[in-house]
Amino acid sequence: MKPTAARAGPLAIDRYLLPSEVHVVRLRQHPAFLIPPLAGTLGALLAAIAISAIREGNKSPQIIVWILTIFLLIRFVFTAAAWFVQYIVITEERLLLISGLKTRTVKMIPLPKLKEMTFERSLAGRIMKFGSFIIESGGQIQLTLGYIVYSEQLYLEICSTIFPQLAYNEDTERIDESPPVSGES
Amino acid sequence: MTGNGPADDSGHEGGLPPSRSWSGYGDMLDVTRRLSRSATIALLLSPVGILLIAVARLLIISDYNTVTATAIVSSGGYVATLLGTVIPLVPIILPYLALTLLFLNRVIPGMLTLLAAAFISPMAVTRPTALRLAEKDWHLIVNNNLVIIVVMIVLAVPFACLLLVELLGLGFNVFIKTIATVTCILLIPLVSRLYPFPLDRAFYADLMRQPSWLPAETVTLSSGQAFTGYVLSNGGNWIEVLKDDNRTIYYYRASDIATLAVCQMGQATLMQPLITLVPAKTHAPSHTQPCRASSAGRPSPYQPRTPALPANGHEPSALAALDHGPVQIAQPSGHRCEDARQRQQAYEVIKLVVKK
Repeated sequence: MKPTAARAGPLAIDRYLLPSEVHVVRLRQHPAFLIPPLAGTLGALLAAIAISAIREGNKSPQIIVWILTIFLLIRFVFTAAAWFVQYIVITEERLLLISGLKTRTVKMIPLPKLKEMTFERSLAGRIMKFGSFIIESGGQIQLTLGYIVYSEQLYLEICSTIFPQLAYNEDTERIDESPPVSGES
Repeated sequence: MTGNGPADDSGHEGGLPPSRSWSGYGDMLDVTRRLSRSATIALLLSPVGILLIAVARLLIISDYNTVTATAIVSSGGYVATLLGTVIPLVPIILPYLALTLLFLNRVIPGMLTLLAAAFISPMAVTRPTALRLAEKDWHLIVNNNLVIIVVMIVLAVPFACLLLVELLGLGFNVFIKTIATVTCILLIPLVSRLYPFPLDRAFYADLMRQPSWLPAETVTLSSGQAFTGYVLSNGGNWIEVLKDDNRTIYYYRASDIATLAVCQMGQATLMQPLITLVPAKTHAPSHTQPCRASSAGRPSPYQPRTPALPANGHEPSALAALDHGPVQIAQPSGHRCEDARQRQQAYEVIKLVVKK
C-alpha cells in the first residue's frame, strides 16, 4: 500500500472532485474483503472435484455441481474486479465512496455527518490491519464501511479534518508523525 | 460484525440493528440480495401467489374447462381444493428448495427446509441404502486417482485456512454462509439420488393433471364397464365422479356402481421419508393396484338408458331429468357392491365425526 499524493490518483477519481478540491486520503478496501467469496469458491471447487470421482448413476448432478462452481468462480472474478475499481476518497469537505464495475456509483457523505461515527476493529481486523467505520445518524446506523486499511490513522485523519482546533493543538505532533494514511492496496 | 463489508448484512455487534454495508459489486452479482428483494418471489410466496398456483393447477386438472373446475371446487370445498392443489407439490420440491436456500446463503431457512424434507419428503431408497450410498461415495472419493487427491489437498489447505480466518475474525455468520454454500454443492449428488427429481416429462404431466388430494379409483359399473376417475362426492344416492380420460364430471346413481377400488396413477411409489416420527407399520405394505389407463379411453359398449349429466355443481336429480347430454346414468340395478356400501358407511362416520 503505497502512499499517494493528493491529485495523484486515477483519473476516474479526479473526475468526481471539484477543481479546488484536494483529496486528503484515497484508498481501497483491504484485500480481506475477498476472503468470503474466495473461500466459497475454493470450497466449491474442492467439492466439485471430489464429486467428480463418483462415476455411478446419472451425470446430471455432477453437471449441476460444475455449473454452480463455475458460477461461484465467475462471481469471485467479478467481485475482485469490482474491489479493484472501488475507492474511498476523503477530501477536506466530504467522503466519497466510488464503486461499481458496470454502473459507476459515487456516494457522498459530508464530513460533518461523520461526527456520529463508530470505529471498530475485530480480531481479524487487528491481525490483518483493517477496521470498520459505522456511520450513524440519529442513533440509526446508516452505513458500514468495512475492510478499511490503515483504519486507525484514517480515523485520526477524519477527526483532524472535522475538529481542526484539536488537531492543531496537542495532537498536531502525533498526526504529523503518523504513517501515511492514504495508499493503494 | 466488524469489518465485514459485503458480508455484513446479518447483524451487528453490540445488539445494534443491521446496517447497510458498502460494497461495490452489489449491482451485478449479489444474487442473494436480489432474490430476497424480488417482488415476483414475494408475490409467489404470498397467499395471492399460492391462490394463483392453485387456480392454475385446478384449470390443468379440469382440462381448462372452467365449469368443471368450478364443479370440482364446489364439490370438494374451497379450502380442501386450495390445499389439495398445493400441498402435494411441497414434498417433491422441498429438498431442492433447501439446497437452493443454502446456496443463496439463507442458512437458517435452508437448514429448516432440509430438516422438513427429512421428515416429510419420501425417499427413493431405504435408510440403510442411503447410508451405504454415502459410504460408497466417500470410498470413491478417498480412493481416487493420486493426482486428483494431491489437487484436492492443495485446495483443501487454503480453504481450511480461509475458513479459520472467517471463523476467528470475520464472524460466525460469514463462516456459516461459506459452509452452507459448500454443503449445498456436496449434497447435490446425494439428494438427487435420495429424492430423485423426476426428469421424465410424463411424471410432471401426470402429477399436474391429477387431483392429488383425491385418490384415483377404478369405477366398475354394474354393466361391467370400468373406468378410472376421482370420486368428488358420495352423498347418498348419487356419486359424483370426475372421469380421468376426458375430465368431465358425471353423476351416477350409487346403485349403478358395482365396485370402487382405489388405484395408483402414474409412477408414484410407496416411499418413506428419511426420518419417520411414528412407525407407520410399513413392514408389509399393501400394494395398490395400478389404474386402468386405457379402459376409459375406449368407446364403451355400455349404452345407458337414463340421461345424466355433465352438470357440474348442480343438483343431479334435476339434471338427470333433462333428456340431453353426452353421458348418461345407469339405471338402478338393485345391486350395490360391498365396496361402495363400505365407502358410504365410512363417509357417514366421517361426517358424524366432523359434526361432533
